[in-house]
Amino acid sequence: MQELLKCTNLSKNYGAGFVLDDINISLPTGRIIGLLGPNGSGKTTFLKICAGLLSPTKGGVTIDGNPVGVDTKRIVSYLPEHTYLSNAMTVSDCIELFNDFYDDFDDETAVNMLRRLSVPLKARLKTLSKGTKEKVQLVLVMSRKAKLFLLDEPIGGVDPAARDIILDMIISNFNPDATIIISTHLIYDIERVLDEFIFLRNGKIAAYDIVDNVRTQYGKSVDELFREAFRC
Amino acid sequence: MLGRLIKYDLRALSRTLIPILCIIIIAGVIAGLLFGFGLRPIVASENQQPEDALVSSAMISITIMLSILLIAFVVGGASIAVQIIVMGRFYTNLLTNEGYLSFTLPVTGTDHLVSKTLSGLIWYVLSAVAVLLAGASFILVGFGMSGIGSEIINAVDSIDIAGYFTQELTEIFSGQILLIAIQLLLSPFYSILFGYMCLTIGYKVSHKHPILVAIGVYMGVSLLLSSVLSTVMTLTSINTTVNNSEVFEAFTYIGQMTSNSMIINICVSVVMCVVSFLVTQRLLTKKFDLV
Repeated sequence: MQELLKCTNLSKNYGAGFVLDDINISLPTGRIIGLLGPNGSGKTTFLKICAGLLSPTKGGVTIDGNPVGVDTKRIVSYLPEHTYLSNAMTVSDCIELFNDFYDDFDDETAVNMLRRLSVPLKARLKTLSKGTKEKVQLVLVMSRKAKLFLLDEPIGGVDPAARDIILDMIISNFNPDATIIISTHLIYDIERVLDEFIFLRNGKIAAYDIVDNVRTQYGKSVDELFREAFRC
Repeated sequence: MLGRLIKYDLRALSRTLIPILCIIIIAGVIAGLLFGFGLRPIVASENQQPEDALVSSAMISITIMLSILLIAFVVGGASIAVQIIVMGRFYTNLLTNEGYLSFTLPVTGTDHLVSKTLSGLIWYVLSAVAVLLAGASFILVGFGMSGIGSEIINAVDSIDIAGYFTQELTEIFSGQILLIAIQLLLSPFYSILFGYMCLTIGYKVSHKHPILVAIGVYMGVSLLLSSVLSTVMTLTSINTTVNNSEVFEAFTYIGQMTSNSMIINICVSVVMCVVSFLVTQRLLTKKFDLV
């Protein structure tokens, strides 16, 4: 398997302390990886650095051999935790925007997924509920044929029924040459789709392993292992 | 990619600004109608009483005043509204949640800055055109309706304007007109880039209160610049005594003074445009954190 993402001595400091502390990790292609940890462990910061929204204090990240920049943004598809589309736009405006800026965007896939989720294309985003907006964002992000997907809490704000649809969408659109990193608290719901997981604690990597190893070696689920590891 | 960014920046503001520009032009027509109505010569009837004449006169003054207030409000309000809306677009699209989309597009921070500068400039020009159209409507409709338009045109034609301008005076004032034109062209660039720089500094200094910090930076730097300009202009003023009996020398003195101040203003504006662009570009590209 090819190396897709590499972090070398990656640290991020906001002044009060290190949110990420000397992360060294190499992630391959063709994997769905869970980025798991309690609040404040550095998950969102890690994803934002990889997406180019934050600058590292020390160290760096390369994606497909390139430092984070315009070239990596062409192959990285990022879904933030909150809505980031302008409320004045319609759903079809958003599709047009993604089509204009991303060569790998598949508008037919996006339209089909939105129809499946019963989202009207002509609706203005400000008329949609928070959960529906999040679905729109997820569909736009997953409709790209990117090499790296960074999903920050993709199922946190949606109802349980929609979670299953979203997880099925993630699996069905998964490209074996790509890698998906999913940050979430809802480990129980997401575990079934994961190949590997990373535990983050206080900005450091506490564990990085294959999901099947946890089941065979420890006889536990990742959710149970997480609860044990991060018990207060 | 820059073209696409400009397209979306223009489109984002069109829903707000196009109606505002239409309102400006319509306001000019309405102000012209009020003005014209107020100017219509009163044909006093044989039987008009003095108190009726007084009431008519008061109504004329009120309508003329309303029309002038309306056009002044529209012109003044338009330029402020356009500036606020253009600055607002920069702030919301780059420094709030929308920035999560903007800065993950495969474009550079410089591309964003250039796009928003050019699209802001286009809206400034369109608003200037709308203001000119409003002013032209005001004059044409106002004087046309008043019934004295043709008399005014005849009066203007009868004035020998060219005779008042000697060659020397023409040279002084044509130079000033050129300087005024350069200042008018530079002014929107300066407003836009300086505003963007203040907003970006505000965000860099405080993520919690970026607008307050931006306003503080704007006022502080503006105050500093005006103090420096005043000092420079005082130091470079021409020590010439004016012989009041010679009108030409007075014009020459005033002309040279205002030319000097305009040249200094232009130089400072150019420098500030460049500095503002470079500072904003650096803040948006190097070590930029969207929190």
